[in-house]
Amino acid sequence: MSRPSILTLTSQVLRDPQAVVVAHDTPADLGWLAPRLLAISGVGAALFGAVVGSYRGGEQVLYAAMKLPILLWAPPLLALPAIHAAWRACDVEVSYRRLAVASLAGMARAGVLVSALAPILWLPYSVEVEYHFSVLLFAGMLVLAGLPGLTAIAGAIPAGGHRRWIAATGSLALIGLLLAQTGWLLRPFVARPTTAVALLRPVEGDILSGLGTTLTSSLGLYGDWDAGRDGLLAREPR
Amino acid sequence: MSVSNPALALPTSVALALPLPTSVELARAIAGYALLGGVAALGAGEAAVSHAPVGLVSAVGALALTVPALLVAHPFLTLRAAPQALVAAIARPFTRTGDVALGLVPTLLLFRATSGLAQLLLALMLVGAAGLGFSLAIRNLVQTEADASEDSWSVWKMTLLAWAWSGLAALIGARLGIGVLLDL
Repeated sequence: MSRPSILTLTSQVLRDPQAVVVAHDTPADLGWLAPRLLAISGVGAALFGAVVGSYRGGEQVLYAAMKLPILLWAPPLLALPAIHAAWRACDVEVSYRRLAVASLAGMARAGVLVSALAPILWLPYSVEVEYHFSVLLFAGMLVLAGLPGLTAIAGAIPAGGHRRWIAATGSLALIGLLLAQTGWLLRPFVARPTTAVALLRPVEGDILSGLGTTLTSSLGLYGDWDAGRDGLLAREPR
Repeated sequence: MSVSNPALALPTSVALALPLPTSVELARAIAGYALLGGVAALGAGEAAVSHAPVGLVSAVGALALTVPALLVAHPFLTLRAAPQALVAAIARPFTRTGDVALGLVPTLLLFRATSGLAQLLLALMLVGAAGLGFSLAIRNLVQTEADASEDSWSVWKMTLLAWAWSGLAALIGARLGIGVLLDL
């Protein structure tokens, strides 16, 4: 069987990700496909990341371009074992390989779509919109591009089984939770122009405390943020 | 001796629609529940170590304490399904949700390493796994009775029994879990 070029593969992933999943069902296929799909999603996400980093400019462009692909890759990869087990619990037999190919195709689809959204993001960033609005725009576009990626994964699940809605809801909640925490760990993506550039912030707080602070700040209620350091990797400041 | 009332006749052959889990499947499920609790307690000090078996104790304890009661109530209500079929109908969701618990270990490990949300997430994960398990067990139990009985009255009784059993098992599981966490 002749292998498609990377451009053809990109087109296939956008048009019909299920066809990619069905056509690549052997271990050899996975070995050939995985690096290509990761490269497609990585390049797309990095382009988007560079635009996100352009809000602050300078080294932040490079940092955000490096981190965005990880944000796209980590949640599905971490959630894959639980998603596989949840569908199996509902008597839907789907192989790890099929689920892995579908996840990779979904990530590639989201990566390409998010890169297409980059110019739309750049436009308001270029006129220096307010910081909180720029963060919302960034998050909104990630969700917008991420949903078609998730449909690629959902489409790989065979019909049948019982209580499918539980597995579907659980899978979606798990990926959402992991996306939120991974985004929290890899922050900052959008940095204020006045702040110092940093690749990563220290491990502190969590996404829930961050959201709570953002909510109260957006209501004009500013206070001290208690950066609880409870994780194993968290360190007390010196 | 012939039995004139079909409701009193014992099941003569046991054709299990669902197979009983293998020892490997059982071991994997137990490992899943044990690891999930263990990961949440990782590096959290001596007190947290005693909390590690919370998932295992609540899941296994709830089944050990309530399945015998179900097996007693089932023939008492003149239902027809074989006891082995009932055990298989409950054991399969237990092993499958144990696999889910095992699959959730990497996620919980990430949260344990990077945040203080691991305990909260562990509770949510256990509740979610229990919800999935009970939902599947109720469905399996009702289907098992429907396969063994011909009258809708028996299926209706089995539905009530399955819901009552799952409610009892959920309460006992919660009690055991809270007992481990609060050292009761």
